[in-house]
Amino acid sequence: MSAINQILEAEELSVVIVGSFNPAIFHPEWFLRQKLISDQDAKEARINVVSSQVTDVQLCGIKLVCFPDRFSLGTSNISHAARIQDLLVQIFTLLPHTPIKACGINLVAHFQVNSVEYWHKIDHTLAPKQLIWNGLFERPGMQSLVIKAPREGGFPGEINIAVEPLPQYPPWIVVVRSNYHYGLPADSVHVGATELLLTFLKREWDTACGMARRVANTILDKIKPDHG
Amino acid sequence: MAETLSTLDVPLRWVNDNRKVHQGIDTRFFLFSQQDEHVLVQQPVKEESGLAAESVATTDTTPTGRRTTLTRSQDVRVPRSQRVSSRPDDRYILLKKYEGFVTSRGERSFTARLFEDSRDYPVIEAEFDLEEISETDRQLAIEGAALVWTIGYGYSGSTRKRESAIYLRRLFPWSEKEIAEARQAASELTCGIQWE
Repeated sequence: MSAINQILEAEELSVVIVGSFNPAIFHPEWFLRQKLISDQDAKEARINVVSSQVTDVQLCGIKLVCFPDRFSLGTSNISHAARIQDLLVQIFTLLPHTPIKACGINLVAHFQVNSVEYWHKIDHTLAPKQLIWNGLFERPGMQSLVIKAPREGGFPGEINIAVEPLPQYPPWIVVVRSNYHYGLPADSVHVGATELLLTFLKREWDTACGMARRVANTILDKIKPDHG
Repeated sequence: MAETLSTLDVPLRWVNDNRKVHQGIDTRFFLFSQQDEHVLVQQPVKEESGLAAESVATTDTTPTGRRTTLTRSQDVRVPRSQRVSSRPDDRYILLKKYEGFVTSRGERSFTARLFEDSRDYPVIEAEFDLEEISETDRQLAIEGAALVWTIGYGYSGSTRKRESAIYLRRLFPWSEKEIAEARQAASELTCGIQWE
């Protein structure tokens, strides 16, 4: 592993699925009865709200938020990534007729850089201020840089990347967010959508989950600290 | 440093109002820009007849002509603010992650073949005590079972602790289609090897 991993501060993972859902289903009791979680997991589940309009529960260290038009599983403990993948596959295998329009696998990686000068250098290299911003404002700073790239292949979609210097300093943190978006074909929303979703989750998972680290590694590899 | 109060948006909306937050089929990041949001839900509340005059039905049903008042409760839907957060509340730094499968199981331990990624060669073999995994997971540790072994730092407040976790995967059996595709891929790979 490269030196970059020594300054990785935190990682978060979330999977957002857009479609039509019944939030009231996703009670820990349903997961227990479907044998997706154990008795102990069900007992330790934290329920904020379960209703037909919104569900917000935490089970097995994973946060589930569901609205009628979207479903999300997320964690800030990346060691649960495999569990999230398994749960998604299990849930949508059990609910095969769920209309689904899109799925996004999202990673957020927080990297600590070793000085404020380096932190500013990353900011200024990614979003130069000289040509436009310095003439307009005093001390302009980059808050977020968003890059969108189309993705071809078996699961066409797009990759959205955001790079953000975190304004809670010190320590000096750069946050890289990646969104690996897959829009399902319109004619599959009601027929075959879950099958496509499951294949997407199995085949593209590793690539999608590694995207934020890959981008961060490249940024921190190409933009070196002045003294380094 | 204290968090700056955001004046970007009003984090309160009707739960079924998709116009502002859920634009199109955007699947980016978390559900809300603020990660915390209050949504207004229409919550059913039972209202007794004494409070809702229109829900009272009065009939004269008894043979003696005694008046009987039927009290009927009515569901009234009242807006209620509900905080929903998409912000996970753990912190964890991953140091190493191995994937693999169980090669054998004994009475008190099991052996697994593990690798960091598909380019990792030679793979490693490790023996684990069954006590390392939870009671419910022990029944899953059978020959061929897929697993993930992660090592990292977890946090309890400001205390950092090293954690090692073994997760036995809950995978559905391979479908016929997946098996056929895997055979095809393996066959193509084998044919592609240029022997010298």
